[in-house]
Amino acid sequence: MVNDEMPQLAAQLTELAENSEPGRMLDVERARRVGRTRMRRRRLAGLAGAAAVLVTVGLLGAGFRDRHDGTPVPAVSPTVGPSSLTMNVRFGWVPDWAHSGSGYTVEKGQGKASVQRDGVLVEPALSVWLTELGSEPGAEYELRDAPKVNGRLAYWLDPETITSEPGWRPYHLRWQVPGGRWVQLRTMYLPRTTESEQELLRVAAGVTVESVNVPLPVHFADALGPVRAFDATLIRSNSPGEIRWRMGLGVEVSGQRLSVVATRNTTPQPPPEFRSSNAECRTVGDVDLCVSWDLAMEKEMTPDEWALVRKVLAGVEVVPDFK
Amino acid sequence: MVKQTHADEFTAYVASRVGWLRKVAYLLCADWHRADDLVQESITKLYVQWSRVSRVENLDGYARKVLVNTFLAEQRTAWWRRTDRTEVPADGAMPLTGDLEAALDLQQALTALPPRQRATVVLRYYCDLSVDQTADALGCSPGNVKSQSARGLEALRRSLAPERLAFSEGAA
Repeated sequence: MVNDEMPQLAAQLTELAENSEPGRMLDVERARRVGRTRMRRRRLAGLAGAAAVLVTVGLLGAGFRDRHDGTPVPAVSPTVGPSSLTMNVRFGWVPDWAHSGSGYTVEKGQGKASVQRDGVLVEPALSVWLTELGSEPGAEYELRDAPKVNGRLAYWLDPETITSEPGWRPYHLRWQVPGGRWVQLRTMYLPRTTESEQELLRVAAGVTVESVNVPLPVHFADALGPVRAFDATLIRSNSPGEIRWRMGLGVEVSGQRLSVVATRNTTPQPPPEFRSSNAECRTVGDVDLCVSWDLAMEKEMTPDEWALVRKVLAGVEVVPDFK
Repeated sequence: MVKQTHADEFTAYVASRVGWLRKVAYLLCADWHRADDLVQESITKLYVQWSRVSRVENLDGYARKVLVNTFLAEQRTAWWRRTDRTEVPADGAMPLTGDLEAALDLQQALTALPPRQRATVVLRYYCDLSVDQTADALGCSPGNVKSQSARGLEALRRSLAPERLAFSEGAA
């Protein structure tokens, strides 16, 4: 074996490990107790997911009323249209540090509400979403008991492998809402302290699960024909800065997928140093508007494709005084 | 009473292996208190999986793998980096009975290695694992183990006093 090749290193490692060992017994009973708690949580999470499916199946025709307290639970799924999006969750109280900006995102059928800590173009400090029916936390999370949220089961999700800035660790709080579904709150840039956890529990208690209609700052001219939107992000800034709001909208026009990005600046901005080579842009008042081919990889576009991009750009109308 | 049987098995296994796990953990993290925390967390994970792992062929190998991965996962967390240590820990006042100076030198040199290199050196030269076994424990390729070993040994050779270098001759 290798120790035959490196006997001195092996001997020194052995000496280091064995001759310096202070006496202390590990707490086997604690390992069993904590282990049982984790197993119970995982089982509960699974059962809750299964129960949610059953409740949904039973209640779909009955208007989604919670069987325990009668609180209505919205049956709406997040949707996005060319001039508005519909969310199913929103923040209530948030800490002072989370007032820099707020936003909504609908992507692949899931909606997230978010609030910002520093500006609007960085990762949200807090995001919240209503999980899919029957969804469970991934195996990459450790589950830990949390105080109940609005009287309902809750737990912390601690990612086991995380890369983040020193001193900050993203983590999640997940709690059940009427009807059996779960709401999940994700935090970034927040130190892991008892005070922070108390703050997050207060945020969670204020989260509302309900249908929320969010107008978007653009319309599309009828001349474009049918415009189908498939995802959207709208972020509003509440703090002084260069950007008042920013919208990204994925649309399908004439069978092609395009991205529409609109940014309202507080002061006139020079043209960006970099922009997609597949984009055409124009300025409408203090709003920068760009339309680009919706491709992950840039490609050589045909004249017809350029023509469609320019046509859509010309057909986007910015809502006046959108705030 | 199946549950009780499992619990008894678990307790007996941990009692028989806790000393060994602590030593491996100590070589990984150079701090006995943290080593105890690592082992505590590892045996908790082991307990959660006990109904399955107690039937695996190489239970020690599985336990070691859980320990090493718990250590590596902790290295990736901000919590640990916030309290990053570059010096010999306070319990360096431990009662070393052998070559104190050599042990402290080696401890400092080990601590200076990046976590995966340190884990590779400990698994290869303390746990006496082959390249393939080490690769399995770390979840990486044998080629990666070889390169990590070579870099780790090279770094140890640079860090240690010349009279301690004998082990590095003919390194794998």
